[in-house]
Amino acid sequence: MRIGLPRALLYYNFQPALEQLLRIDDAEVVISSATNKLKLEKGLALCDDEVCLPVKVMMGHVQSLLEQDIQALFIPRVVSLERKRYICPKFLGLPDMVKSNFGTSIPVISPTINLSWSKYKIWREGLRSAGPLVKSPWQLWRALGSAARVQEEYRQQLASALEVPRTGKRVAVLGHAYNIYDEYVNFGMLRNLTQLGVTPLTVENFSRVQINQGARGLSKDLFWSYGRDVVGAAFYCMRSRAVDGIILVASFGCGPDSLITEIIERQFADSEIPLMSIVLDEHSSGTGLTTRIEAFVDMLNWRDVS
Amino acid sequence: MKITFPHLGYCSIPLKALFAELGHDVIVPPPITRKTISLGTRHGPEFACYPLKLGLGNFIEAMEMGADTLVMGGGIGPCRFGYYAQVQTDILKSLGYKFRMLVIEPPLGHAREVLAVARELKGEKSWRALIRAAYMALVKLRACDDIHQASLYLRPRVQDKAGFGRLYTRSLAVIDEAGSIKAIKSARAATLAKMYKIPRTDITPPKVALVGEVYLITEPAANLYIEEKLGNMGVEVVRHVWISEWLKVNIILDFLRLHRKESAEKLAKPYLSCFVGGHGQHSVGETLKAVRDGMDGVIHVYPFTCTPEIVARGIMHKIAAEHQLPLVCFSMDEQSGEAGFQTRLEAFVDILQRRDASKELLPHG
Repeated sequence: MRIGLPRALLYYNFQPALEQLLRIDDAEVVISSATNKLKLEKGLALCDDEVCLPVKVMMGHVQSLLEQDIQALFIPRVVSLERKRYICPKFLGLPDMVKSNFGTSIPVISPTINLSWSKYKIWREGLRSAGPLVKSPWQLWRALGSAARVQEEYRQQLASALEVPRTGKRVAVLGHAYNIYDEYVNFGMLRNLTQLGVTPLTVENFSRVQINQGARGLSKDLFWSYGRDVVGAAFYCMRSRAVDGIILVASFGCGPDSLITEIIERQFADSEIPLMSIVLDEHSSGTGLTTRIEAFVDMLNWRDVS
Repeated sequence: MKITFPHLGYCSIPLKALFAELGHDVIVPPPITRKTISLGTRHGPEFACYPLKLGLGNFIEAMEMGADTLVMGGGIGPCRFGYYAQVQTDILKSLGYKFRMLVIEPPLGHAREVLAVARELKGEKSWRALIRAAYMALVKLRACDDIHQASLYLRPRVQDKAGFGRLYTRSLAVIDEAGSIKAIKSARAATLAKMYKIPRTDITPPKVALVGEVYLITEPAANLYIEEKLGNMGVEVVRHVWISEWLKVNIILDFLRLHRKESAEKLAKPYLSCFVGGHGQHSVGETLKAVRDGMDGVIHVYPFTCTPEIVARGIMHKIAAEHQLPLVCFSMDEQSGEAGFQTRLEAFVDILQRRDASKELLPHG
């Protein structure tokens, strides 16, 4: 049994847990290769023009998986990652979008994922959605536990990055993981910054405590998990001066980000930390983006001189 | 306290009645014009959806007229509307306005906040007066909905469309002026009778379902008067989103935990099996309902960048193709041009009429 796992959207957030979870059985997991021009073009052809870039990329990955002789696709329906908070509505409809694009020729394993549920309920949902794929329920129970553990270790490991003493400039690159870690979509922004001698920090590099501390500055708690993380990290940076600059990355037409960018930009209007916001879509140009990043870093360096 | 609120079609009529009954000065924002749109666009976030920008424009214009208390709806996501009040507050404060923002959150789970706002709004009046005012507002809303529903049926059928348009505007004005529940009820009956008396043609108009996001369906200035345009082109519009219905289902039944899944959502299940925020699932369900009820076409309106509706749109296209149902999607924002819109609408109506003609239901015309 070969199960396809698209390297897109929340894969970038839950890579360790996903790989752990899908390893439980003798099923073979096929993860699509990194995003490239061909995948994006396939995605563009499959999607409505108004769909946001990460979803177009996702569809391209699914298409490329289908060409690789797989027997099932793993596309969960992610509802919520914490109590009373949601993520973008597109994740709720994602399995349906995939089904409507690719027909029902291939089985789609789409468990409903709501991490505010108890482990028992999550396990039941896993058993229901995977059906005969799970040989022993006990094995899934154990796999759920180890996936959660691996994910938590990974998170803690990332969150300790701020404690490393700083060498050179530090810039927080804040946005959804699928925009930050997909090198094709953002033209290797993180690599670019490192080459310019700047240490990039992402949302994952901030601890829960730091993010909660930052998010306290909101007039009404945000109901999007990732949006709240971005705002929390940005506000924390503003107060603690943990970084020298902030780059906000959003995809064009992103609903939550349209408001989050506005909230952050307003708060930073009279802050001394420079802020640049970048909007990505399939028409973005790598050269233009590199120029903007270089200019931003130059500006950070010149501030020291003056 | 000089109260104002954002426009939502004719909802200013019941809202004005509600606050006026409670003894407040009510400043109804001027009707949405180019000026409103450009104010909202200039000060609002670029990628926020059209309703935020229009609401912002309404608030600015109303505050220029002296309003100092803004009433706005809230929400708990995942639709971003739930955070609009906060963003609008930040923007208006940075523009230097002095005001208070009262946010009405959904009662389920926010009972305390809702009570606090209700206490604020009732002022020195009794709770009974508040309930009476709310009831009166509901009766007005119901009357407006009824008149509007009648206009959707009658406009494509009447001979004198211009005269009908004038009567429709006047009817809403009469409801607006009515000062008691008895007066509202008799005004409603009288205007409806008058509307039905206008001479009609004997053509059976094609029927089109108008589906999509509630603000865009309800606010004519945002949807470029789509219902009126279609009516004048001789197309009957059927819509399932009514504010009075919506209030009943989403606020009252939800609060009493009696919320039954509406049939549209049930229909949508095989195609879009869960709630995707906003009206996404509803739009899919309404499209299937249109297929079931033998409608001639479906028109989908939503604000540009509205994620729930975009999710729905992809699926709706598949349904429409499967059932050979004409479907046109309009994503609207401040850039929507009147002429282009008119052309697309006319082309769509042409398709409907030709399909009808080939079925020999309608004479060519």
